[in-house]
Amino acid sequence: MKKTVNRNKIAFAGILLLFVFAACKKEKNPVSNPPAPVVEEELITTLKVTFTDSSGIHPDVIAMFQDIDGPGGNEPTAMDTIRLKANATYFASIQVLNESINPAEDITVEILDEAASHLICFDIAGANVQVIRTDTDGVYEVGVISKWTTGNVSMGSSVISLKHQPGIKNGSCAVGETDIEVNFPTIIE
Amino acid sequence: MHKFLFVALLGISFFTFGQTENCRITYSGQVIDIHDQESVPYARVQIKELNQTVMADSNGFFSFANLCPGDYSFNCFHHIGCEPEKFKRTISKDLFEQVFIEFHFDELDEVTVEYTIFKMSTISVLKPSELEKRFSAGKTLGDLVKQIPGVNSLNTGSSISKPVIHGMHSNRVLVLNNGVRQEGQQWGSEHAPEIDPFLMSEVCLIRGASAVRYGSDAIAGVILTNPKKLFYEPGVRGEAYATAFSNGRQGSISTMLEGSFKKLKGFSWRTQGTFKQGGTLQAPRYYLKNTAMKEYNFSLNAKYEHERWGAEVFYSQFNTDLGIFSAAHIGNLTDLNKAFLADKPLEEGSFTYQIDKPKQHIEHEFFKASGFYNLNSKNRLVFQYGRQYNLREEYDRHVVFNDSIAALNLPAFQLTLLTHTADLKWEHQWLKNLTGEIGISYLKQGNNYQGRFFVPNFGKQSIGMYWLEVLKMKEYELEIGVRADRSDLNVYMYENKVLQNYEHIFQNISGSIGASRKISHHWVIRANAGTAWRAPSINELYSNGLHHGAAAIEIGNRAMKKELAINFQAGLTFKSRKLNALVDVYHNEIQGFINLKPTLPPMLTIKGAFPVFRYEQINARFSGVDLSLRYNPTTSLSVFMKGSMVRAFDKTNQYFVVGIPADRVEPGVDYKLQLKKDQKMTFHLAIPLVRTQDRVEANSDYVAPPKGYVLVNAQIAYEFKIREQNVDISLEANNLLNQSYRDYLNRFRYFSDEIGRNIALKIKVPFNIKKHEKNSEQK
Repeated sequence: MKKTVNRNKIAFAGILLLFVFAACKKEKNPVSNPPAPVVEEELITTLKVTFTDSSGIHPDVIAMFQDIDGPGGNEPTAMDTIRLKANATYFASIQVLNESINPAEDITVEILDEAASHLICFDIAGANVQVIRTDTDGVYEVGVISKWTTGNVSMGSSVISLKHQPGIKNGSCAVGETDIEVNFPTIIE
Repeated sequence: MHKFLFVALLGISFFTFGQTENCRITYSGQVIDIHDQESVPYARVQIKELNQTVMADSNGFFSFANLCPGDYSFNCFHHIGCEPEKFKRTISKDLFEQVFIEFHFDELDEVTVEYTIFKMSTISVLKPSELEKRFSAGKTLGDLVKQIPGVNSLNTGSSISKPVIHGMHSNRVLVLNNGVRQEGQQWGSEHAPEIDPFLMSEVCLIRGASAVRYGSDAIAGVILTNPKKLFYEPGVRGEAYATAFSNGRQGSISTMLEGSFKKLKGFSWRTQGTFKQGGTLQAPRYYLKNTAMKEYNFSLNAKYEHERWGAEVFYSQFNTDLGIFSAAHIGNLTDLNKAFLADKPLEEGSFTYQIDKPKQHIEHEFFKASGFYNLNSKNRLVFQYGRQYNLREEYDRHVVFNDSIAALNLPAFQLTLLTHTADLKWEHQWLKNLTGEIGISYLKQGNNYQGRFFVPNFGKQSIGMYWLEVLKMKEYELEIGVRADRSDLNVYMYENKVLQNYEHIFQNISGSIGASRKISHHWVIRANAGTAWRAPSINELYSNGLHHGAAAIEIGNRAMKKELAINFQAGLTFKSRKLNALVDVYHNEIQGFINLKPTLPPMLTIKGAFPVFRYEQINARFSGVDLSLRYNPTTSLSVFMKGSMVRAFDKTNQYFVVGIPADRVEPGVDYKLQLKKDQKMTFHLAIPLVRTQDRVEANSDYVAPPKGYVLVNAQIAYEFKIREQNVDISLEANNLLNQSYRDYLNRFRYFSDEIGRNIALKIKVPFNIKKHEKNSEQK
């Protein structure tokens, strides 16, 4: 009988110990030491479109949207207008950057690495421009390089967006999640 | 009690001598409470003529053997101090019957445990019935408390659900898990309370600001959940639950083992564990992609009670992985609009148990140590310490571009919240009718984040003191409570690359007064007025950024002041053998109600335009009615109706508050069939009717509130005995007609229908491993 009591006491002590161990498992950094502000390595801060005249007559045009601290916080630092000459053909090349870190990271490289799950879309309204993607991931177009053929003088807007379409890319802009969407005012002059 | 048993046994043994041949009749039965149709344990049944008494067992069964034919008068003493239930029978052959007993309010008070002052006090405590609880196995806390009139649930998809009381939720509802404030990441609507529903045997709602004893911030009410009381009969026993749901092919297993040693009186222990896994859920017309989930929990509990003192330790862990419906994870406003316009989600899935991104991983660890000491029969000290560790990891859908970073598989952000609480209270009885308690509670909390900024790191300390007294007269009851709190919040964050520390101090005094009166045996009328307040939470003060998945930029306001509520409520209850009715009306005036309001213009970001929501303070009023009726035309049939209505108005801007539950009523029928002495069948049919929420300002929401709907839910339960153990099997169908509908309180109503028909099979099997039967009878 005495033995049972002892065994029970041992069991009780064991349970208590288990509690103590379980409860002391995780202790954390002090809250007064938050992580440094640069955390989002994958922040997209900048979309830069460089237009080169195919005939070499007109100067290059650069249009940029830049928001160094990402969505929220401070206002975007650049929201350019695309100004292209009428009746011309431009080659447009798109660059996606993270300029919150130094040196800036060129995310375009990674987009091209995963070209099969990305698509850049162009939605032009009002301005007299035809856009054709000229690159490919092997099956579908990508859109990092495109050809812009302008018509007569006009004004409008160009929405340039980057769609993330892992496993669902079918050439259409309707599927996937939007990683970038910038609406550039567009002037054909 | 043992004495009575002894007398009973003695009575039987005397009676068995001096028998004649005819005196071989057995009269047996089961004592049942007419109100909730549940068995009443340990009632005493007496045959007056023979002066013979037996005691019913824990399931209400009793039996008289070897009776001679004749007329007998019976007295059923169901509770100490209650009037016995009297009835007469002419007995000529073996007979089994159910004996229905009924409590009256004055009797109910008699059985109130001395120290749980509020439980049967003037403020109304509401619980789901035993039956509803039985059908709730495998449901979330939100779904469980929803059965109480006036409570709704706020859902994010179909796996995350949190309670809404009188139109308010999250920071305005205090959840007390096993006596300790549940401290998770309460502030998010997609953050459900981290509690294993299989562990909770007792769930009740304490409404109104009057719950001063639990905290000042229970503006809408307090939800108490407690595990079953530990038992002290020597032996080892347990219970196993298994549930299977057709929708999502979800299954869960939960087992509990508890015991007490014969040699170590007063000590008892319990361990419990639950595993639950579900796959992709299905709306009537399509699969909801990425809605699989997994949950694994366990708990350990041990308690020792001596005459004057007792101590308890409790530890539990809750872990879950939840897939977030991928069509609801939206890139920007354009995507959002596209999703709204689509009749079906833009992405369809197929069945899988795989959990993909976006997903959440949540861990909640809970430890409690408590003790009491009885100074004398009228004074007692209770101490309690609690430690809670909460980890929340949220994974975005977006796969990062950089492969080496993607390979680390880190969450987009992670929050760890560590909370220590300590409570000390002195329960006292000044006079025979006057009891009360004085308490002090302390909380220390720290939150760390990693990954994307959503809320900053903070440390919080708060201290509260309260005093409440309850005066109980024969017909009146009066309670007064007062509470003072102070909370100190320290925020640490980098601003322009410099570490900043901001301090916020909030303090206030709150109080409440309530009274109730019994009128005759059947009526109770009660009223309560009180104040409550809460400090703004961290997200209301500091959130600043994109809320992924919600496609919104949320901006807090550091100048936010405390939220103050004045609360009035009144209620009327009627209880009789045939009819139970309860009506409650309430009115809350809230000063500085913190509200997330859409503001123009939308913010332009590289991901497109996002609507901007700012936290602002308004003056609001909330009022409403809750109703519950149950009519029992016969002992086996009962019809019921529950309903609730809430109106909320923003007085500052003169328009309706958004996100308020639509009016609803739920009529239904219960039918009980006693097949044999120990076989019972129950049928339950409920038809929730929900109106369209039309009290919404035009263009204040992305899309108009969804249409009202009618559902049919049906259940059959079968209860029988195997080796003296009650086994429960139930088959239930929710949304039996496979209706396509959307609910206004589901954040994913923009993207998809609610889940379709869900048929569930649930089994509960209790078991005894080691039982010292002889012991308990010999005593």
